Amino acid sequence: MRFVRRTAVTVGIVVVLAFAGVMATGCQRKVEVKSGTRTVCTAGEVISENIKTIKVPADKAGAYRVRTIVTTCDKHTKLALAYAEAQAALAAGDTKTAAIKLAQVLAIDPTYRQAKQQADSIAKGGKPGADSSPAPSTNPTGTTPVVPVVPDKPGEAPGTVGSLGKWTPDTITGFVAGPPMSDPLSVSREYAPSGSSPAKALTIVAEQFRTSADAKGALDRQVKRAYTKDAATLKINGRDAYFGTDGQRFAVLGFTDGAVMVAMELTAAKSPEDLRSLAQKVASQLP
Amino acid sequence: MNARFISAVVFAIAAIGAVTSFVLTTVAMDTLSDTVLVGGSSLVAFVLVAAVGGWHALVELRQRSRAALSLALVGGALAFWAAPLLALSQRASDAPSGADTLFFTTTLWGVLVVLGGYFISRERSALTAIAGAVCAAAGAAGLLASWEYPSSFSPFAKFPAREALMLVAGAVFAAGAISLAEAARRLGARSATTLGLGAAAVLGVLVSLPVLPASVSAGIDAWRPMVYLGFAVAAFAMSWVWTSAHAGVVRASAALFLAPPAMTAIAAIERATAVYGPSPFAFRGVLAGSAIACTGAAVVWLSDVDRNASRAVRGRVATAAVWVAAGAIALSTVSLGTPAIAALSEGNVGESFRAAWTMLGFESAAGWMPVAGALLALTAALEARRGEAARAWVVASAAVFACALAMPALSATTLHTWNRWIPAEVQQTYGTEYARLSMSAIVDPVRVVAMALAVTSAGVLGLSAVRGANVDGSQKEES
Repeated sequence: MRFVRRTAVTVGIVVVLAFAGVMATGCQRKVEVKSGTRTVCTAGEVISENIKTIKVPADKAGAYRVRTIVTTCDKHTKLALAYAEAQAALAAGDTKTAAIKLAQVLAIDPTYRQAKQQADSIAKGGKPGADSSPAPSTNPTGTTPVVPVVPDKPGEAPGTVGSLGKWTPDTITGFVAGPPMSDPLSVSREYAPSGSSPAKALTIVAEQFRTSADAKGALDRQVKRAYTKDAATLKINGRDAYFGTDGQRFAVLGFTDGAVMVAMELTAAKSPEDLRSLAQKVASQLP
Repeated sequence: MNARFISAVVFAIAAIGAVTSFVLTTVAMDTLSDTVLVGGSSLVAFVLVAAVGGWHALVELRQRSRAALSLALVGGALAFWAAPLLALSQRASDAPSGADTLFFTTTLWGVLVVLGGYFISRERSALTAIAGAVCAAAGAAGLLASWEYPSSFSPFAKFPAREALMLVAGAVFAAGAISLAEAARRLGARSATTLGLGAAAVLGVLVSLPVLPASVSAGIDAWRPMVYLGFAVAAFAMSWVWTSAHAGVVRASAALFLAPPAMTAIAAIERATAVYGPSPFAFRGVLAGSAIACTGAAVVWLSDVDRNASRAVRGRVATAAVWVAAGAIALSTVSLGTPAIAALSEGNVGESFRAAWTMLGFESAAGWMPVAGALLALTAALEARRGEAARAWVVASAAVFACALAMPALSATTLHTWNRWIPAEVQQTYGTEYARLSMSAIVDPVRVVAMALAVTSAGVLGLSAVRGANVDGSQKEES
């Protein structure tokens, strides 16, 4: 009996010691991580990638990321410019210039359906109307500047250029920010009230579209049609912003900035129509 | 009525009581303070036990020794007040996760009770009980790590201090359970239970008094689960003490090993009968883990030394079984440090994150199967050579084969989902479109050989026993 107990204790000690050794070894493991930058055009194409796979100690692995820069590439900048000039020519009745500019558009992107239809119409002797929707955000006359492509440097952030992060700031008076959630073409962030507030929660979503028309269309579809109660147009930071509620729990204030749509959703503690002034205050703290 | 049948029924009540107590504690813990919940439920349990005859049994105790009475009082205070309160004080709503908490407050408490029962109380249980407890713990870990994918089960990863204190609570429970078992043998199970719950109730009420006014305002809805918990505690306490008095605390601990499979069964029934959407279970892992946890519990339950000693299995073959099992122990221990799972973490929260690394044997559910199998094989071989507990070593040998069968099903099941070095925002969004964790099994020859050696040892032992029996049989026929 004593032999059996001694054997059991010995086996136990061996297993525990071995386990401790294994744990110590496991803590010093190497991890394979990816690090670098990827530049993506607002049109969705990957412009460049400079990503490396490297082996690093596990406790350093969290510092290695692949950073994505969202920008508008030369090709799509030229395309937007040519298309805008074509529309301006069509509006002025100058079909000859319009045909040249539309040909430039199609040379860059043969799948551009609207440009193809207009070019075909002109070729058949027609006079198509100009596209009434605003020019793409890359138009030099638009509010969003053309973003220069930052040269890739592995592991280095390009700063805030081209980032949607400015619409979800770290500090908003009266709220505490949660972590931002983002993908290359959108960012969202939740905020909790820091003290007593008529709102139980605030969520800001900013979404990048290809053109400002697309952004306005999204504002109509996703915001104005869904939040039809207590509707009002407010002037915030020089922009027209739509305020509306669902009449039950939620109030939304939405606007566009070039090809970006921004929507702020407030969850009401009591009734959502009371949140209008708070929504204005929050929106005024955005760029 | 058949004594075995009564034992089985009481044991089943203990297992159900353990699971119900865990569930109701989880329900009530967010609305009442820890001290009020534990104290109040102990008081309800005491009143119930006293009402069903416990009070009458107490009156007859005046002539009994003070030592026995003290054992019951101290044991009850430790097992039914101090241990649950210490464990509960480490729990927030989801920190540690439910899977971690269930593992630390049922399965590992069971392991501690087995160790305490074997080494401290010197109950006449076979060495296979310890191997059975390890087997049950390995199975429960595999089961709980398969509750969802990616799993929230990561012992000692996210809240190591809280989980370590839950283990301390387990040691307190084990000490209390051993004391109560001894008291129950001297005073009777009903008296010991009543005294123990009485001590827990008095302490609970006294400690709760300062925070009672705040809890009173919580309303009747907050108090109702506490009363139900009292019923569960009463059922568990009575059946546990009765079982540990009649069969020993080592065998009673099998009720704790059945808690994770029982919780899984409840969750499965709930999913099947209510509208809770698709089940998150990884079924292969759940089935394999449940089978091993139940097998381990069976080994523990059947590990009592037979009163009618069987003939020792001796000879070269039996000796070989011991050495082969020892080899399995050595290799399985080594395999805890060899590659087991290729892991890949990808997140796209803000900037994208991608890391690939290798998990070792101790971080995978399959990595513990050879350890459990080798321990079962070695203890079975040692017990067989002693010739004292045929039932114990036969069951333990059979359990080795169960471990071998379960190993492939658990090969890609990690016990370490959470890693400190992976950004928290990536890990918190696993399972969404923003992040994922992928696992693929690595076949490690050391682990396979370790398991094969354990199986060989059990097989050789079985053959040796059969050959011995045949020889006996032929000798009888000849005579």
